[in-house]
Amino acid sequence: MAPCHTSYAHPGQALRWWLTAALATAFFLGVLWPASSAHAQNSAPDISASVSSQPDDIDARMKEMIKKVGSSTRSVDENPIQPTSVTPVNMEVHWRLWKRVATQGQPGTSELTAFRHDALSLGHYNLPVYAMAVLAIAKEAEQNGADPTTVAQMYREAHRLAPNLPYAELGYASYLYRNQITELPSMIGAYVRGIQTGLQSLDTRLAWELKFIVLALVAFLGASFAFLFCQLMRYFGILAYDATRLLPHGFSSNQSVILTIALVVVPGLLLRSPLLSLLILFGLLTIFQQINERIISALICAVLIMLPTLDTHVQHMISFPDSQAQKLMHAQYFHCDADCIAQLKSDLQSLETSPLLQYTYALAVYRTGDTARYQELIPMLANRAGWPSFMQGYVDNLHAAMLIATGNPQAATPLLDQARTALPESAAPTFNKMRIAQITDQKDAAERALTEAASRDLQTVTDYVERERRDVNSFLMAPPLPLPHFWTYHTAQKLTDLSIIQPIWTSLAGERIPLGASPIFGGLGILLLISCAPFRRMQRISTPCPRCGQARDPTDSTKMGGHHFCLPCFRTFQSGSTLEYQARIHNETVLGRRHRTQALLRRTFSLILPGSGHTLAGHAILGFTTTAILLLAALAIWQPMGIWRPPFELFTNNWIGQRTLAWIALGICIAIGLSGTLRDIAPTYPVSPDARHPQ
Amino acid sequence: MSKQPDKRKATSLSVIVFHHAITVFILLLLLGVGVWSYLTFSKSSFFVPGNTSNTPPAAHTHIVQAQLKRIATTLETFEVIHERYPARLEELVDAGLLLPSDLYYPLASNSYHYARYQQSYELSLIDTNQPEFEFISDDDNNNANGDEIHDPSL
Repeated sequence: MAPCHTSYAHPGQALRWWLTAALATAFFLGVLWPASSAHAQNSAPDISASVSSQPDDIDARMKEMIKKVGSSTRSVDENPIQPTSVTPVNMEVHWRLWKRVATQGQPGTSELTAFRHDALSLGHYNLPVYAMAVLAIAKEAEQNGADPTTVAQMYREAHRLAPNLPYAELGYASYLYRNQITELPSMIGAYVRGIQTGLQSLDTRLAWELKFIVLALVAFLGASFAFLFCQLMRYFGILAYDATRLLPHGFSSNQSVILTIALVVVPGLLLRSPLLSLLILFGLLTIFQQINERIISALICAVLIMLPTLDTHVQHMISFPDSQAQKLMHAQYFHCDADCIAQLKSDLQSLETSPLLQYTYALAVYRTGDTARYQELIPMLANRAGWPSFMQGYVDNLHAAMLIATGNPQAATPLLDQARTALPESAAPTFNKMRIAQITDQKDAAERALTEAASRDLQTVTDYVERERRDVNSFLMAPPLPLPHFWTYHTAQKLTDLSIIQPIWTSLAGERIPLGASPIFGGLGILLLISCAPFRRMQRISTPCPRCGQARDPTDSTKMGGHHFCLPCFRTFQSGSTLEYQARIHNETVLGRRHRTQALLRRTFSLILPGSGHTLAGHAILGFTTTAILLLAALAIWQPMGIWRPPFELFTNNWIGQRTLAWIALGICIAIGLSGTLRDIAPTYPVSPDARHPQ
Repeated sequence: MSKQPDKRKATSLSVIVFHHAITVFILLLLLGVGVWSYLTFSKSSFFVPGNTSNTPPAAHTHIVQAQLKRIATTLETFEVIHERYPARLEELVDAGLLLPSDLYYPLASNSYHYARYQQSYELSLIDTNQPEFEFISDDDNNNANGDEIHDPSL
């Protein structure tokens, strides 16, 4: 009997498909791949970095910044920083100017930069609506055959308008894929950076994660049912045979089968729980499983154990839209207008006070630039006991920024020293110290502080130095809190019942078995898997004959020298000379029919549901994985947009190439299934101490 | 050819009695299960469709709010590009700002009510099973009480 080979056919070989596969690889490496490594030698422009990564360029940039800081020292005084003179009308003028320039086929970088600086002065941190508008106009320009450099600059400006959102990077990767397929490093670099940014942004990450978890759970459920059905086909005869063998004398094989079925069905009927019957059946079948099947069974049990935790996590993700945490995040990361500030103040008075709410309110008021209102906030920020330790660095920095803005820079210095220690990766405290050094006319101290700030976050520092304005939002750095704080705040809120797993569980398990009982089932399953694992090696249980699928009695092993066939197959096909001629002919007819039936079942299963044929043949890991990925890919194609859709998203249901990836996965799984159908799948054979391997 | 276990079973009278006793037990078991099933499920109506929506109302609320926010964002995007709000939501799809499915999500039908005014718009979802979700944007310039703008081409 030939061992099973797994060299499967691949789908088409077109260049674009290979590049898509490279994108898929990049997607999976996206979390770990450093953003800079993928685009070290790009020939296409890099839209995210406004500074070059070359050391010589960095030095030149630093010199330029230091020169700029030195020249601006003379214009800085200790007076309070006045509110910005920029109004929304300025923004509107620059925006219209840019649109006029863009319609003439120009990138309009200076107009958009002026627009962005106006917006930043007015307290906008990200401008998602305008970034989306720029992306839409860039796409229109692309369709009108605009110069690639112009389009790339538009994508760069869109990214600078909303640096905390991933869509400009992903859009640029998509643009290069469509138009400059040879710029593979730039395309992959932009794609990876887009994925990384998306994973950091809660609006996108939660939508992606929720979609993946829900689709993966449904695919896992389907693959588990397919696995259980294949195990039933493979092992139920063995189960009935061993039950007959082990029960007292007087039980016939039919009675054993009926009793086994009753053992499975009756508890489920009594508790009105189909899932309970399935789990009992699953438990009985695990007794006979080989090691790779036990791994899959352990995986199913692990998911059962994790199900309540997963359900809670999914509920938190579902409830994030329109939650208080999302509102606070948007207030810090986008813009908080007068109504938003009034709402925050109202919440501070009416809701249970939380540090996140307090900080959001303080930051929103700070961004108005109205220094007269800072006085009411400074006592709140100075109350160190009221702030958790993980926020203290940000609070100290904001407090110091308010003191500098109100003309009291000396009092800000110790706060910035504390913030500098608490936030070792943030440039904000050191940058603000540089501003104090500028105000007090200490040029050397300012240069040292600038150098240190640039070493922490060169891009942000460059961006701030380039603004050359003296309003609080341009002159000082007061960053929002990191996004994990918002998620922590959200998960700490009281959860209303939003479970989407519970209804499915109830429909399967009935109302008498709550979802909370699933870890018990999973734990019992793991215990059963471990405790029954040695039975095969101890030759206490029968195994399926790889030729006819019938039970191979362990006591027959010694009669066959440990051969993996059952005794009839062994006598007929291995040592046929021991049988009479007529008996041999009869056996060959009957056993040959069974052999062909087994092969037909494997091929048919593999055709109907790729992976199930492999599971039936005993290749459980490959079979289960194939089925699960096939279902996941099919679901991703069917429902590409997930459960809730992010508010600021690209305008295609194939963004991040998810449908392309799904089609590739689907193609591979179907190829595996067709290969199994056409070539048959060699079944596994029992491995026992005295079993001989097939020739 | 038999696949029965190769073990020697006693053929004494006790074994035969035991065998028949098991048969009687199984019959009684099946009878009991049948009676129990009849008593349990006799009042169940298996063919009456129940609530086909598996999404609990609370989750539905969050999904609707997220979708309203998404459409509202694209309305704002349309406004900053064209300096007007669209006459119909389908214009957002035509402009490539929304997917066609966005207007049918999360309900199966297009149940979004949209009206534009001079400086604002009104967007809501009408769900017969839920209270109306409403989302009004641009509160500073809200002219929702003013005259609705009608597109003469419609």
